[in-house]
Amino acid sequence: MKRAAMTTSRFLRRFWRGLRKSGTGFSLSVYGSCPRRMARRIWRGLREWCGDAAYESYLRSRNGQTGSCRTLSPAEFYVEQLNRRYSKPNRCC
Amino acid sequence: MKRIFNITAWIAVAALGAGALGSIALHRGEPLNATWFVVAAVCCYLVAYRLYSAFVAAKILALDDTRATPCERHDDGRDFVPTNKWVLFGHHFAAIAGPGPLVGPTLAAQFGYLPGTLWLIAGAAFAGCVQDFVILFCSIRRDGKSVGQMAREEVSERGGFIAQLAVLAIMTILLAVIGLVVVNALKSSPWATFTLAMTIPIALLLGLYLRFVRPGRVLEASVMGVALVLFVVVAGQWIADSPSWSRVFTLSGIALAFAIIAYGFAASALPVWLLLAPRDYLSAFIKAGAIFSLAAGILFVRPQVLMPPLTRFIDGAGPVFAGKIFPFCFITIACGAISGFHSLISSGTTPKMILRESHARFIGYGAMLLESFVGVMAMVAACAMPPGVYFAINSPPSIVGGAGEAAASTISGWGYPLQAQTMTDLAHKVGEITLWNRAGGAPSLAVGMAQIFSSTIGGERLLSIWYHFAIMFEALFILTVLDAGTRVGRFMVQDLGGRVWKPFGRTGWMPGVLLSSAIIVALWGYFLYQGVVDPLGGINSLWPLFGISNQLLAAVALVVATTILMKMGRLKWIWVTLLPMAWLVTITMTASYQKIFDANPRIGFLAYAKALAAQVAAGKIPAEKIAETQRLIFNQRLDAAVTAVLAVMILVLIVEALVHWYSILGRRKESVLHESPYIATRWAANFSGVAHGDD
Repeated sequence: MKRAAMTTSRFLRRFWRGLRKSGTGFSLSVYGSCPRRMARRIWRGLREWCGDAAYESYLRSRNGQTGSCRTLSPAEFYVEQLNRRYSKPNRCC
Repeated sequence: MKRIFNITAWIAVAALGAGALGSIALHRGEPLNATWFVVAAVCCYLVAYRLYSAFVAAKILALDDTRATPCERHDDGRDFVPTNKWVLFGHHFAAIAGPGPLVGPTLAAQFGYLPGTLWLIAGAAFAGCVQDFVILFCSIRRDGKSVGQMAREEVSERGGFIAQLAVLAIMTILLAVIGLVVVNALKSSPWATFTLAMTIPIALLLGLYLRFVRPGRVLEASVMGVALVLFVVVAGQWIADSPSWSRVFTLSGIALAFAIIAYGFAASALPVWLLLAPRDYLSAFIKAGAIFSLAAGILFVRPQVLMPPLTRFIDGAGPVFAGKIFPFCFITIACGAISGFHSLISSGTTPKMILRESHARFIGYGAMLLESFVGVMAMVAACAMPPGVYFAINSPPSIVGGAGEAAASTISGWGYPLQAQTMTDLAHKVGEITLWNRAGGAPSLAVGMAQIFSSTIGGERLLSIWYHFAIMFEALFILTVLDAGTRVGRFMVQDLGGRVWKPFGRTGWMPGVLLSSAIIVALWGYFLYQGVVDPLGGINSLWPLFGISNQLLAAVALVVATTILMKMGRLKWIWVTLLPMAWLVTITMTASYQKIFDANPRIGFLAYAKALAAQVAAGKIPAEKIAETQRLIFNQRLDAAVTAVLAVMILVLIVEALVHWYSILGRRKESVLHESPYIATRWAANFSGVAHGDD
């Protein structure tokens, strides 16, 4: 509730600022940024949910590590990840 | 002012929920609108989440967001991956929501809509969600350890061993019973059999694409796969209309059972990327789509619930399965109210991906509430059809006297009017040869779903397409559970065998892979075959066995949770897990006793074996059927032995836990909590921006 209120007030503030800068009133970029951001979030969430973004997460995590292990290729990572995931219960009744 | 507004809003939600529940419980006579079910369930869930889960989170678990979670401590980009809470909620829900919350309530609808609906709502709020939430919390505090490991460390070695055995038992019986549901859904149905068979080459195609063409591009592959699956649902009609092709895909129960057994073996032995994983992707998308469509359809169509609140079968003489409301309603509806299997997921991948401790409430408690809602929708779909039709689809021929006029007259005699022509017309409309005696829950749920979907889009013209879409959706994700379960079972068998002979434990050694796959498939395949040839329909004996084993695992999880709460010094609040545990032990032990010793042959395994043996001795069985009857007698005794083993496991676990608790409370034993040491999170200061998904 609080978050929604903050997002709305931020959006209104930016909208008002854009309105003042453009002079004539309507700044499409400001108006469109909120739905675009939301669509980007949903898309990113969907990619994370279905496993599309797993390799990117792996690379990000590798970048933060100092170990000497070789970084896996996308195909190697994909197979390795599946083998690990399906070796323990991951689907319920 | 804001506080007063909040309190008023929650009082209004609670009052609305109470009013809707009252309408469901007290309504008699005229059919009831399904909207009441949705309103009652949603309001109860909101209140339970807002009040009860907040109480458990704050007073009992004392969730601490300053503490680093396993994904921060061990971030490796593989198992331990920091994940946005909404994404993880989706992961967790997709993992826990299987066929159980759809099939269980459909079968329990034979008691009427009331007992099942109340158990789904109350069971989830006070037992199932609490189990998932507390186990998830315990696992987070222990670096993502499994419930078996926690049982070994926090209760005793024996407790851990029982947990392992329970997992193997539930896996075997679960795979057999869901295999039986698929057999009964596809039996004598060329359209459905073709559709499901075609999902195998589609999955293989996707597997090759994801492995060699665009590694890991799950989304685009799944979109192609879903489009192909929808195409084969439509194409199935052409197969059913072609006399020669129709013959190829019209299979008997036994043939289908062997086909499923062969499929399970192949999925377990083949590389996981080739068949199992792509099928899982397909299933996840179709499952999510179908569940949300069903919810939207129920809200849009607002069907009338035609089943009475209580049927005459509360006396235990039900045609779908025998046994009184207590305890059989509570073991028939397991997933959707409380399911032990969930504890494996809550102590599996989810705790390794959770960003902060406070997310455990939303993911553990919230996802289970959503699963319960799926169960309520399944109940609505089953109860929205005329009761006569429901019983005609779900009753085995030995109970209703075959099909056609004789069966219609038996069912009408129970007080649920039915004409044989109604069933013929319905079968024709949904594109099936017959809908009589299709026990298992899947066909009746598919009829219910198809009626709701076709009332939204397409009308009666599309009823057959919607019916086969629903059958494909159910069978597709049942087979996903079946192949993933067989593979996990294979690893368990290899793990056990590896202790005796080391090479057998190597997961890459082909002879070991083939032998362990054959062993696990033989285990559940035997029970599946037994269910298919059972004259009482198979579901009558196998579903209660599944319920008992599932609730046994839930009892293990709640024993672990209670022990941990005790060690945390939350003695005052242990009733939160202790009461659900006591309830589960009571229903499981009562059901086990009745399934073994009840004098009614339809309930008691031993009584049925005795009745069959008496018929053989009296010469009432034709000579050519004697061998088959002897096998049936053996199967009944085997089922009795399996039930007894499960009951003994519960008793041993309870005695073990009581001794342990007595030692802790009497300070005879040092109370050691095996939590990982506290490490302050480095993400606390700038939480929303860090991690790999903003919150």
